Amino acid sequence: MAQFIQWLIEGAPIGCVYALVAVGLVLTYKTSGVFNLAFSAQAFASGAVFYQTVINNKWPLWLGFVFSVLIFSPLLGLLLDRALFRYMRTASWQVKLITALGLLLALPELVRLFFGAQPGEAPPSIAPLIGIDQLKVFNLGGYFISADRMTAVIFTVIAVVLLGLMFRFTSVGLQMRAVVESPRMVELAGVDADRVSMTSWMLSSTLAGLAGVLLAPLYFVLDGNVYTLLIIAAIAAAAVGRFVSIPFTLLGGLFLGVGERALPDIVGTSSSFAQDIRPSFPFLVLFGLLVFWPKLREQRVVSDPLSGVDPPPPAMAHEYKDANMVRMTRIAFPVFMGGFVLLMMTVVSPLWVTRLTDAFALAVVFLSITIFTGLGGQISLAQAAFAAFGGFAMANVAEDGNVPALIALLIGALVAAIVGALFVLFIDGLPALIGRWRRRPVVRLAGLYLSLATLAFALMAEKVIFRREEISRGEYGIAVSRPEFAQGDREWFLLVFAIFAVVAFMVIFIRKGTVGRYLSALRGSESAAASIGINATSLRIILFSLSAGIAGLGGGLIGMAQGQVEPTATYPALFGVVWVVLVVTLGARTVDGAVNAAIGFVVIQWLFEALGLPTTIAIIGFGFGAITYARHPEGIVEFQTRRSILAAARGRMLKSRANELSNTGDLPSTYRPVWHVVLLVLAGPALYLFYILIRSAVQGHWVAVHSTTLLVFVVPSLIFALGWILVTERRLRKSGGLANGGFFLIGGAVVGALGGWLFYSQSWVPRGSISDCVLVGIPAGVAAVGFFLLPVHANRIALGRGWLASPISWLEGRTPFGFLLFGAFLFFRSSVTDASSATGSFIDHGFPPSGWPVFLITAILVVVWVQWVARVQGAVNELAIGGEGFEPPEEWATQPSEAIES
Amino acid sequence: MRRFIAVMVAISAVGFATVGMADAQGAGRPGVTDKEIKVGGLSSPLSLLSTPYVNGFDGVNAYFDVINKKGGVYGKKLKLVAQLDDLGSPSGNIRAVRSLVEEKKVFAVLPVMTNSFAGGSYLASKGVPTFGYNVDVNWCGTSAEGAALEAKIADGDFTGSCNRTTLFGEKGSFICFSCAAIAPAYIAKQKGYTKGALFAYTAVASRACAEGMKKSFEEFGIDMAYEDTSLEFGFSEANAGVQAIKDKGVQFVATCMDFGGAFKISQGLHQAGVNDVAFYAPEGYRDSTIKKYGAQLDNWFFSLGFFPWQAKNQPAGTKAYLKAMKQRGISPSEQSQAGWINANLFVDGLKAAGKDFTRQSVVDAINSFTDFTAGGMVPPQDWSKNGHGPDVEACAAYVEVVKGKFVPRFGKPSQPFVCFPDNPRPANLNDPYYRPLKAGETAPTLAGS
Repeated sequence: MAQFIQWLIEGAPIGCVYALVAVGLVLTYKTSGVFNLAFSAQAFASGAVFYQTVINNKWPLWLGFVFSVLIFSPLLGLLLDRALFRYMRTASWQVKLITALGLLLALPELVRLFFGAQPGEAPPSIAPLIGIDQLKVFNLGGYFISADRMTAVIFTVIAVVLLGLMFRFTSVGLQMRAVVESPRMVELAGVDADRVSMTSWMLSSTLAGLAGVLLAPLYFVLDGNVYTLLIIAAIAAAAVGRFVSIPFTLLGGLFLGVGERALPDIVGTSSSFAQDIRPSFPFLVLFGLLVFWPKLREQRVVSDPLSGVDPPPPAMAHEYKDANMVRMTRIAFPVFMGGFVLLMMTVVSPLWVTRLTDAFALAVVFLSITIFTGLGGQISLAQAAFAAFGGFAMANVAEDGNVPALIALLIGALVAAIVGALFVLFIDGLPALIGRWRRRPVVRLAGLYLSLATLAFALMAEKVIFRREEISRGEYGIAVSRPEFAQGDREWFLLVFAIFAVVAFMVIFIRKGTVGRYLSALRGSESAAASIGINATSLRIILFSLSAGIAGLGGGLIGMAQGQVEPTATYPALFGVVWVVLVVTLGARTVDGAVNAAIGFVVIQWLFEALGLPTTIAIIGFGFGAITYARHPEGIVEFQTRRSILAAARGRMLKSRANELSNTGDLPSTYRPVWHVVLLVLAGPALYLFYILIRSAVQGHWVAVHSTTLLVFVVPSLIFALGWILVTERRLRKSGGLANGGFFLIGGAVVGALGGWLFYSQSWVPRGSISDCVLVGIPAGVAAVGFFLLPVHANRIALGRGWLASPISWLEGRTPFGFLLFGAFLFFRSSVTDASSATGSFIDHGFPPSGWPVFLITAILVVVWVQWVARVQGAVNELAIGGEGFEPPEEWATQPSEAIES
Repeated sequence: MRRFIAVMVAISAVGFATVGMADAQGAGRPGVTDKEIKVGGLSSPLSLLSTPYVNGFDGVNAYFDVINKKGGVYGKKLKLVAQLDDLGSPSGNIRAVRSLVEEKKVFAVLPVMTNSFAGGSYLASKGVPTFGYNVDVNWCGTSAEGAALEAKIADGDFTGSCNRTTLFGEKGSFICFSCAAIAPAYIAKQKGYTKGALFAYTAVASRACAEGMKKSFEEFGIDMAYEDTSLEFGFSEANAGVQAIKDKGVQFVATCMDFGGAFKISQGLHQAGVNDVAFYAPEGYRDSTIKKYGAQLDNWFFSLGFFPWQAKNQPAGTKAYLKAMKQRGISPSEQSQAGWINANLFVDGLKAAGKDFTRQSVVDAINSFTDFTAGGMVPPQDWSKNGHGPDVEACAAYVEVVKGKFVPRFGKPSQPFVCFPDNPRPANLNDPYYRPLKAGETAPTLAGS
């Protein structure tokens, strides 16, 4: 008993902090439906703000506390609710989870960007705020407890009491309790669910902030990685309360804290078992609860009778293609791929070959997400762990050189597949057996709880399995070499690319085949699928083992590319989270999505590196990019592909109608074929690129990006484009657009001129006079306004005509405007400009040349610019010849961005 | 249309094949012009253990400034043109290393400040002179080669050597985590401690370090009263250890942790009313820690591989380094000093290689150095013999925190390095010799030297 009291006294403080975060988690989960995995990131952000204000800015302790916990934290919660989660109340669990995961990644990086990368040492304690000397030690019956720990307990008690009072005596509290019990009933009673959700977000964020500030001195370090793992303990605590009960959640937190304290006394501190179990205790608890507590997994079905029935996913973009486009693709695709491989095998520099090869190795892992999420409809956060199983298995069998590398890769994939199958047998089979023994059916682990189980499994595998000497062969890991025939960079690329191609075709084949259709049926409704004879158990085994096997194959390739597999650095478990967020954001259902995600993951980091920007911006971008998933659950790549295909179809219909009108002589004079305008806009950049290539080929070295050359080739196109904007704007304005649109353009010109002057006066421009700056600023300002103004005009005209769908939305201007700003920022960075103008021989620079970021961004700018021009001209044409009798395809009306704005 | 595409592909193929042939041609002295010698380095700014790796760049830049003010080397200025971030991952490290060599076209790579130097094999294969902060087996060879060397040492065989002879760590290119570490045992012996405790993380390198310390404690008769190797970085729970230390009367705690982890344990002890336990931490000797924690660190010991900054009669190298850091307004740190030592070795190598230096000649020149000390900052490094292999002697300087200040310990005036032969191991720790040797003094004959 005495020992238990000791554990309780010494473990309770940490348990209290776990409980605080867990209570916040439960509050928002039940009131907004969002399982906010980013709570730990919010706690870290508040802790960092507190550290910054008190330590670095020397604010008084109380002021730092008030600002970070009572102002910053609720505001962060408010921001997240108002800007994001309020729009997701009816969204699927995948959308909410991915958005939360995106925040989990982005927020800590954002904090580091603002406050510096180094973890804060010796964070301040808030003990003095309640009159406790920071160095005081409390003696509780012979057990010592420090001021920091006592403070954690006191603040938790205060928070819980206040929470209880609020729940008991305030109307908001009552509403929140009611929402926790039954959100639908509460809404039927006329309660503003949005308001309740907002309050709970602010409240829970405050709790996270308080936890962040309390925890920092206990950890002694303010580090994002440490905080990230806090969320697992909080989830485990919340699981004790079945994600519903706040009192039991509090108990769960205490249990974890006390358990962590008791463990070393029970299992020891230096045995192999202790080394395994102590760091993974919260993961073990969470995994155990999810797998062995049937009531927990039944949560999803009790809340909503339709929770297991999802509508079938929308058709793939390529299914919208017409016969001509399909034929074109059949020709263009092999030519493009052949050209790509040819370039990689000849002209692309070895460094870039390596970078892109890394991307394709990663893309193989990403295809496992395509299988699991795209086909299976589930989200696994354990893909990095499966990749690690494959990588370590490959390395172990290949290490002695007795097994050829290719065979070792396959063995790695097989081992990972077996682990995947065992995993599903464990989480499904074992509980089912127990359920049968207890004569009680058990629901399969799926949805959010499956994702949490995979996360817990991945972290356990990292802490327990991959650190074992038998697996990773000690602290240095295992050295592996590529196959004999693929020692060179280009040969290695060819091998990886070939493996990727095989896996990609396999994925497509599976998607189109029986298994894919069965999985599609299963994700729609397990009961309905079972009623037509689909065996869900065997399909789940196939899904897990296939996905894990592909991840294992990719893991083997990653290990070979690096030349070694290390226990912690090669496949960190949290990479699995980054990967899933990235793939799902770009498109989990297609191979394109996986490839784009992998290339983006590799190349964007290098782009920022080359531009002299912090590479953490890339992670922030990936994290916040996940927010787009709510709007485009099919993924950005798939969305853009579908949009392009539909736009092409729309263009063909317009053209056909224009021909009809032309034949009858009724074609309005305002109609201009889109390609006429595009050609003139594109002519300059195309000629410029042609000039660069030809001149480079003739001279045998990369030709400088010279301002005169730019003036001759690109400026005429820009002048034409500017003229086109002005003429079109005037025409639209006169046809019923925004009456004072001209003033906006003038305003844009003035702001642009001022911007040019600002750049010059602040010496942000490496060269050029003030007149140059102003002359560039004016058209840039006009164009920036035009990006939004022209679509607004068109939208207004369509609205005036009573059209149900507008041909274009002002949102169309966001992308070119964003790139205009980004381009301006980059071009005015002298280092980049210098790099772009560097000359040298092919031998010195290779391909791509040293100024590749500028080339890449210029190319993207041109594409974005041309796309915008084409869309606006298409809308103008539609307004000119559309109207009665013009029937757009049904899908157009379903595109959110095309919705008419009133 | 098809014909057009076919023609375009053919043209591209011919054009690019020509370019490809050009690409395959060789190059001269990369990164060297009439006016400058370009080098580039990398670090892990987000190192997990909060080690300030990025400080290495300060050391290199400071040393280059000193040299450039004197006219550079052969009239060429030294320029650190790239400071890349390897993101702390092996793949990031490989890509950063290749970017330095293939994109930035540097002549040499320095400093490499990371705990996962997976790009080492690439740099070695390309013969690029590389300098950095050695905390990883990749400075020596593959993981298997490193493990084999450690196994040989465990068997008493010190004859092995590293394969990567173009890589130069600031304390030699071979580091043996699991070898018996003399420093903590020596401190315990000097202070008369008989009961020790050991704390380490579950991270493999930390556990290997703990193995080395255990061996040392056993070898020199210090009772290991308590051992905790099951802590995780950022741990919040060390009460069990605190209680055990108190109960078992431990006098000395050795850690294989970053400074923060070790300090957290010491705080726990203080809070439990245990104030007389001495601490040994392998990391944390920097001005910033003493400024921040002052007397809270009293009775802490650090072992250093370089001349202590507080010792009297500082050698020229230490004086110059401290002066340069002061001028730049930077607090001295082990990492920035490592960068300084790296830059010093590189410049010495350039000078020794002659005016028409190449990468290979610089490497050869350095590998002929028998007594490199960076102006007295470090014990002599013999790059011709054991710089790329197991040490033949174990030399360390010691400091203790007394009244909130670092105070050199155990050495002699002007001779702060306390040395023992490492091959064969000393029977006891009673009879050290001291470096730098004074005129007339001789070191014992070392088997590997």
